Amino acid sequence: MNVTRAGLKKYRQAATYSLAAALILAVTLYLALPVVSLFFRTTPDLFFTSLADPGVSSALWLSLFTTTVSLATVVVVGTPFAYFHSRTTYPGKMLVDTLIDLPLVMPPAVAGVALLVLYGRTGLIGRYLNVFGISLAFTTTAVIMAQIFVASPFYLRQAKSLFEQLDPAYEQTARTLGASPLRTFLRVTIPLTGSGLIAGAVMTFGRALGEFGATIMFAGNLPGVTQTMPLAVYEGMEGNFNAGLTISILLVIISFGIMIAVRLVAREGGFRA
Amino acid sequence: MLEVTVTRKLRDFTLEIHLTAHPGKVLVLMGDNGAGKSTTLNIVAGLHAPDSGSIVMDGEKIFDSKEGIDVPPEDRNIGYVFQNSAAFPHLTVRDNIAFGLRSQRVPTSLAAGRVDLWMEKLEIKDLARVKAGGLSGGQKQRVALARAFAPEPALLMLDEPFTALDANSIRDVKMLIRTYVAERHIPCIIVTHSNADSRDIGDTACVLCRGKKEWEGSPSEVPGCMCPRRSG
Repeated sequence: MNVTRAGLKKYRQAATYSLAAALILAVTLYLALPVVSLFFRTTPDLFFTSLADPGVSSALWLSLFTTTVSLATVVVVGTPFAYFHSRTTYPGKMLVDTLIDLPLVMPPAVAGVALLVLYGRTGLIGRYLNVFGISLAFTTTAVIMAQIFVASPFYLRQAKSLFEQLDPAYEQTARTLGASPLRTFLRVTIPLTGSGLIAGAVMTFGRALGEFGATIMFAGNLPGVTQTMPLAVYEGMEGNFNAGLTISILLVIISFGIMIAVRLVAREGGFRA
Repeated sequence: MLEVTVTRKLRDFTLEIHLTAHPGKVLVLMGDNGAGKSTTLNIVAGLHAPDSGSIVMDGEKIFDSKEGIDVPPEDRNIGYVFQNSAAFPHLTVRDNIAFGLRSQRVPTSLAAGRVDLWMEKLEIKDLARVKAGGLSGGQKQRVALARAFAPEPALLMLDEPFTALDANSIRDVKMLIRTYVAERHIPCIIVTHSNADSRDIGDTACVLCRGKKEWEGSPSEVPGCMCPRRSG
């Protein structure tokens, strides 16, 4: 009797372990295989040859330029915004909170259409801008605007919650010690939330880099002007498959780098007492 | 000398308080949790605005609702140690203590000497290069005290300064506070729950109850609980 019970227990344990191992393997493979296969589809020679392709390099530089501008704008405007937003109560705060989250659940293509309807040549604001000879849609500026619209929530949400969670005693002590509000913000608030802010910024950069739907709707797909890397992949699939593949691999490498950066920053952080 | 006459509407009651703190003397604020002790300190520090009243420090109005005077906290020259010490975790012990001196643009050579002096007095000199985030509660408390002492404020306010310290340290720190207040001839307000602490360090004790001063007198004569309990 006892022997059977012990045997049953062992059998159950083995079954649990096998099930766990199978699940972990299945999930890992499902996520990893498509990415790995990208690398198997090309050769180093082919990769470096198409890297020199002007279409590929111009998409790469346009992507890096636009995402850098987008990120800088989000950080410069978003950090003080998130600070004031989290430290004050004002009518409609709930609505603003919802609007910040909206781009996360809204289909990017819809975001692009919305931007077009507002800023396009005949758009609500666009028609007036057009009078002054300013046309936003289908320009590099439009690429940046689309990226900011879609990717800023990652940074704003993070900054908001960091500022909300920071113990006000640190900032208050700094003030009583003679530090102006600005000095307090730069010397106390920012260093204490820095690692979290960087993690948020990296996520925003990653999302902006991968932006496709809103960009193609609002900025179009003009090589050298609005054709960022994801758009170049799309075009590559219709003709120059190798170029598309090379850009895809580049995007995978950059995304991987971003995730590693976030992990490292998150581990470095955690000053909060 | 500090004279405080302020009112402020709080969630459950109205804080209505009149306090006088004399130079070279320690005023102890006592009372139940939520009686308004910390709020009073925050108001004096300029971190919360009272609804009405005035705060006069050494003859100078730092707050007056009628005249529209409200000196910002950074210009009040008050040394304030919070209950949880709030030692800046991202700065070294040395930089923590130098923070006030740097903010007030004290010349570097002078500041360095004062930082050393206070690290020595609070026995944290060997921790000078350690980031405060990694210190124990008692060490953080010493850093916070040194940081408040170093800029030589015109008023010292300490919220529960002894809770994180062990018995031996408490004795030393009490002595240090007494000497500092007497030598610099400044008023000092200390918030505490403990009758023993109050007797050891206080010249006058004030018992607050739901935002009002319920009793004031010698720390050795503080009556037992006198605040009418709210019936559940």
